[in-house]
Amino acid sequence: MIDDDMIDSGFRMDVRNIAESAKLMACQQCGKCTPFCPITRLNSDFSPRKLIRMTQLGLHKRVVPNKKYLWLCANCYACSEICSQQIDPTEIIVSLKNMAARIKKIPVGKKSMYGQIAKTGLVFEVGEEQNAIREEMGLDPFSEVDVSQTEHILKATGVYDIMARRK
Amino acid sequence: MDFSLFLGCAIPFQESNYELSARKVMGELGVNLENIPGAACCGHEIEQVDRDAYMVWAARNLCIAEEMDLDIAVLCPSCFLTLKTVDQTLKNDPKKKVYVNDILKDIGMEFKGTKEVRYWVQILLDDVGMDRMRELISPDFKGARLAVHYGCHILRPSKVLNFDDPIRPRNIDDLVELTGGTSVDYVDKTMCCGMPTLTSDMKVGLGIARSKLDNVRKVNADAMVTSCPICHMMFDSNQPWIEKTFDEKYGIPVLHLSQLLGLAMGFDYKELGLDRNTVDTKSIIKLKKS
Repeated sequence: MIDDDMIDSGFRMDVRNIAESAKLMACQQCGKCTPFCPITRLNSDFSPRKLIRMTQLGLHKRVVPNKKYLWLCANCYACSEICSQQIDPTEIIVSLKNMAARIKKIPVGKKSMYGQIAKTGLVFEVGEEQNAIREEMGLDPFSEVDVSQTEHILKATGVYDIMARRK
Repeated sequence: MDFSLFLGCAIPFQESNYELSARKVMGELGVNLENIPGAACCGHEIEQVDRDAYMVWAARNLCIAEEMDLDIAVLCPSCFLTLKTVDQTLKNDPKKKVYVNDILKDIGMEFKGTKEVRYWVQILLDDVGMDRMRELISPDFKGARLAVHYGCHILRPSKVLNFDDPIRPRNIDDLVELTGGTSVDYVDKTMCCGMPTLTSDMKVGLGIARSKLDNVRKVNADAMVTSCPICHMMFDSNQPWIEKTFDEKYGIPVLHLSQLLGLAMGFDYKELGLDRNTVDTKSIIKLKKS
């Protein structure tokens, strides 16, 4: 049951205005994507089709701030590859995640990963332990990242605070 | 043939044996790989937070590589997708190029777009060629049943990657079969490994990997073969964790494609870092005929 007050009429326009998700309204809900989604198999509440429908309907609150739902997407592009309408559901989901990040609705596991990227420039930190193994293999040590440069990029694009914050 | 090598961060963190074996194999085939100094994470994960930040971040990596005046070889599919997407975007969209360069200017860099981003398997297929590889790779693994796991981001989105047929790919199967083994088919062969979902819902992420291991076991594969460091982490390093979580026992060895090719080229176990794999790989050596 969807009540009128659950609908945010500007939401779908916000999503359509992003070039990568401009074809949002072209989804006819054929459902061809669903059997190809690896997440749907393990959590039938989730499907790219449902996410698209909720977005088309303007159900902002069910989609964007919902940390346990939106971020399940593994970014595998299986739905995008199979879509007959070529609406690119994966790109629409990326747009939705970008919106969620702006209002700081990021699941805790992802948040700590982004913190790591902001701090070190890397998703996986490479330190002495790793370099010792590399030396044993005869490989060069991993070359250090100039974090002042990566930090500058995150600050100039306005995402440093979103990525580096503790809470 | 000289290329710069974009390493990414998953490889030096836990999968250095992928780099080791890829360097051995490519070196033998006449491909020299130069380190890119100061490269960061490719930027793949940043796309989820903000597309602009992702673009500038990836462009910085491309700029460092561009300084070396060599085309860029990439071992990790997710790094490949990221660098290739941003490279193509900036080469074709002057407005975005201006935006990116305006920020990069502050750190003394400029994206010019003079180099190409290449997945290492593409270099093997297109530049080295099957004929040369057939000369150096012996069909020592006759009778072996090998289950290829294609990483998502060498297949999809195909409109950007243009690497292989995204539904029925053959490229890596053909390479694997140069070693004499059979590349077996199994259910959901091109499906994701589940790794990206580990950080949002651990059970779902592990569950995806478990279903793939189940499917590989059903076709009696002797080993899995990956060409992505993230997928390798999921199936190899995380295999004991998956077994514990679901009360299962798989014991399926998982080889980097470069380790398998290296064995068939005559490199030994340790030269290819096979001693560093989590699941014991000695059963694979026993399958080798000569």
